[in-house]
Amino acid sequence: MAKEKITHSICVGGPMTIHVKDGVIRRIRPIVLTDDDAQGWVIKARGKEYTPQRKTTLSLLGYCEKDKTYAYDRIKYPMIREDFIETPDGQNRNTENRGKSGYRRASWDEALSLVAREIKRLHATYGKETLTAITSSHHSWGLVGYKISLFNRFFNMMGYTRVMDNPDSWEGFHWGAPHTYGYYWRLGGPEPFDMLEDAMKNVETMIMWSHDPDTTRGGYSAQESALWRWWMKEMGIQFIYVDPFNNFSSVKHADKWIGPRMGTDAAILEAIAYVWITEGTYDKEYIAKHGHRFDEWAQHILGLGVDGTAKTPKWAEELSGVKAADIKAIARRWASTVTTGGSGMRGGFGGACRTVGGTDYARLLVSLLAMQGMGKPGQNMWTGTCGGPMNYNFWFGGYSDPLASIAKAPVCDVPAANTVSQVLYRTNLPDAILDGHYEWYGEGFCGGGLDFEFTRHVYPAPGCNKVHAFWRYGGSFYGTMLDTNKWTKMYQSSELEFVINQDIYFTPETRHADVILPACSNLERVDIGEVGNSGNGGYCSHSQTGNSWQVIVYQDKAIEPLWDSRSDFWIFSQVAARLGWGEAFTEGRSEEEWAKRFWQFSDLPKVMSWEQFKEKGYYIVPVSFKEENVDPKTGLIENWDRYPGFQWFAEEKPCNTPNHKDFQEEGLLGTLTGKFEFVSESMLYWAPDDEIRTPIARYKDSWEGHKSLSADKFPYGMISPHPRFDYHTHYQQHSKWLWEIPENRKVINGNPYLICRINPKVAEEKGICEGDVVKLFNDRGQALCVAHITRRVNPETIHVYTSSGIYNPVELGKAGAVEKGGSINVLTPGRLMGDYIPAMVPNSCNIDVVKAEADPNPGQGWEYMLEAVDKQQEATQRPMNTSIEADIIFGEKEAK
Amino acid sequence: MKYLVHVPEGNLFLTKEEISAKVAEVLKTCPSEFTCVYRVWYEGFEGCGRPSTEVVNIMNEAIAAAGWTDVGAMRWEKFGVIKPSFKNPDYANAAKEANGVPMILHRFHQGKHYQGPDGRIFWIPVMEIFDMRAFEWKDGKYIGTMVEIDPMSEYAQQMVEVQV
Repeated sequence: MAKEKITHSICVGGPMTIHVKDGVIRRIRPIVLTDDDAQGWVIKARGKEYTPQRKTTLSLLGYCEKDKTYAYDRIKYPMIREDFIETPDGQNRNTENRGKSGYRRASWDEALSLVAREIKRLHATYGKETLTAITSSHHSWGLVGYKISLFNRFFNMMGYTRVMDNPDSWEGFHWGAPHTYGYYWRLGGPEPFDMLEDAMKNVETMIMWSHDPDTTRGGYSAQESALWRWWMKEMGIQFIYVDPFNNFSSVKHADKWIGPRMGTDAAILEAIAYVWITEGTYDKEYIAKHGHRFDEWAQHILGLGVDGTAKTPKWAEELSGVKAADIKAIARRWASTVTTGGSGMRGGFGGACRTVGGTDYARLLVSLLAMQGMGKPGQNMWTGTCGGPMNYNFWFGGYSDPLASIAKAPVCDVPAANTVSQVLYRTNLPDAILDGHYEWYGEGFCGGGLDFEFTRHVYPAPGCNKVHAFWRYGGSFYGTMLDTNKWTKMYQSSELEFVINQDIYFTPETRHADVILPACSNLERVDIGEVGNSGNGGYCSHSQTGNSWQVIVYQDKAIEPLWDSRSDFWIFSQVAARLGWGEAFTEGRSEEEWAKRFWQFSDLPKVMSWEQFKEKGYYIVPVSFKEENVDPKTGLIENWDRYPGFQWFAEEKPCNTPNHKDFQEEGLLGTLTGKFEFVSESMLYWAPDDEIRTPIARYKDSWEGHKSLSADKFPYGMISPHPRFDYHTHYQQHSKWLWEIPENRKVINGNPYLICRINPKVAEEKGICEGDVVKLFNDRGQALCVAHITRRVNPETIHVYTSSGIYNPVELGKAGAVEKGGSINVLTPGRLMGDYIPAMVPNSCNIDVVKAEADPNPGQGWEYMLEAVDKQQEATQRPMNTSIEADIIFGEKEAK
Repeated sequence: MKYLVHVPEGNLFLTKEEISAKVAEVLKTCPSEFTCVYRVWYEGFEGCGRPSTEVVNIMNEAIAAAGWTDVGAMRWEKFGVIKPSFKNPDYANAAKEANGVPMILHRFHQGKHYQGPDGRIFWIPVMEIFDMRAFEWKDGKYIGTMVEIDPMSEYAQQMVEVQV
């Protein structure tokens, strides 16, 4: 009997132990700690002791990694679109058939050589700016393979038109909150450091606004923090959930659920402020010291401002549908108990900030937290996800850390810098390609400064050619961007002369490529990484504090690459070699040698050798190394260096929290005045005429909402929050295990229809029964879902999760065709939040719903494309692995 | 002549001398290495809206008069590019801690190179109160593994910023 091989890896669902026998993955489990691993921390609060279990956790997505590895939709071979013609001028290539045409099996050498020839032709014809490329977020975990590392190295060395990412998960906080409390370098998010202990010792009420932590898992943190919230519940902390959908965390934990109408959260917050101001129940001393222009704002709240409307609970009830009595009750509980709260998975996320009023909501939430003395014990901005004890003095790079990229020194010898200055913007990439011109404000992720929110961009950039080729890498934007029918139009445009797709799976976007390069999964290659570490010093730093254990993993190759797939590193190095700079790209290092560089440039060498690390497979960082910090009775670590978020500000000390700025050491926030700005000086400074993001944050009727013109025709607000059964688009299509979950999908005639949630009153009016197929529609598109009738949404709201990895239009390749795969993003508005705010607003979306019939055509509609290629492989009996013959040897080392 | 200075308490009408005196008072206790008119206006005066051109000119004159050196145009994360920006002549003696908490970013510049008393040159890419990490720079290359330097150690106190 073959011996079982055990390796380790990481995915967005947590760290994994992988059991392999006979070259096949048999089981995936959490890491169970052994006696030689570090002891855990213990929090002593309210007479009890709390310590995490001695194993890591995996979200349901992590458990799907086995199914996903052997998925039916893996791309087995390099493929070329069957009606693609390599014309010398890039014209007449049947681009209108992208998304419709099938593929033919190609060898690696054929595919790679075609890619290299096309790049040379495009560069010679239009210049380097003619190629653009983009990745999805987090389709691959590991410091070698992550997009900021490997992808950047390849494309920066080549030169390309970069596509700026928008902060799609937390738009309102990114573009709004910095104008109230700074933190632009944290992209609008708060400081969660050591907040778990603070909450367990001091908090009485948790406000979970637009937050479903058991669904969003705190962001790459598996289910670690679920236990923390049970502890908090057990010790009697009251939870108030505010969300149009009585979400999966709310039904477990909420003492009170409030379900406002979509996009009206700002009105409720203003009404809470009204109660506090009129009843005098806010921290006046704190505001006098730390607030800027509070009195003017208070006058606005009381109806003494320009609009003359008092923001009473009754006023908010009319807008939000939430009873005035409930608003008053929340206000009084919040003010009379020690309360911590926030929005979404890291305190500054959540669906409410992805509405047209998202910046107002974010700024008002911060303002209210300030009014109760933010930074005092138990009074903070935190939502029970990040902020576990951590050893901040142990350095290992996170994925966005400048020191954790093979594109940058000292990890590489020669850094890779992009020589093309032209940029595009992700949300509007199709508009730019189709119209040939696009303008917007802002740098996407504006961590470098408030001023970066207001830089103006024009495409094409002066002196630059337009983009004529697109290299898409991992994942599908059909499920995450908005008004996504336009992506099909873009792909079918002859403006795009050449489209490359490099992916593990045959995703909706892969089906629109001319050449498909099959990458292998994380489990089929070597890498290194830390669970949940978004970067020490990078954006939203130290998100590994969402975990109970700090785990650094040697991501060993569990199995060989399946079929004819190869690692992304191999693919890029082969293209680079064919372009003449392969040796410069690899610097003579293999993937394992690159991984070793990250071990070398960290604190790991102090605690274990490279060989020991590889053998063990992971390292648990103790929260403190000091003997005196260990509780002699239990052996648990009871003391560590603590840096509680925001307390420095309340206590008027120099800031000592991680990831801080020099002005914070002078006691100042990142706003212009260094205080909480109730009237934003930065808005007055940069864009005083902005009608959406006004100097005073306040509720405004949305350009798409219950008071907009479209509401007459499409009377329901569709909310599409972050998904419970997927992460971006990386699991749904690939793991059929997920289709078996009744709350997720229902398979009818071979197609997995997504569940939408409808109130019984609406269902009755429309004649819809539980399990019926329904059509959600508006002027932008139509999508078939299966109805789940539930009182967990109010009558004015229809809930359906976003980020469907599945996009199955009933007519393949036809923009506007009825969508049956659950990419309800065909319905959401493509319009940006405001003229100055390049934010997408999926939760400002009016729709109607009718009972419908399932598509009579079987399956998902595109399976035949892969089956045809399988048949070609069988018929030709070509060797399964063509990568050996394609290997180009450069320098002294083969790029393997 | 009096100039409008808008602060949260309301409109003030100050003379040039009064504005200059207020600027001097703000700068006196300023621990920053650099400043510009907008820092003084917003952080020092808690000014509302933008200062008028006349007030900007008075304040710039006052900053220069306080001995701060004009260093030309500088980009500020909060304001964008501001010209003129000024360097603090007494930065070395300005506060480097408060309430017992060291101001580590006022002691070292992240991303810069420093030479230790033993002649070794280090690049300091990561620097916060709890971990100052460096790479040795030799012959135009970063060599060896990551080095941890205690920012409060004697060695660190003797490090001098150098250009490489």
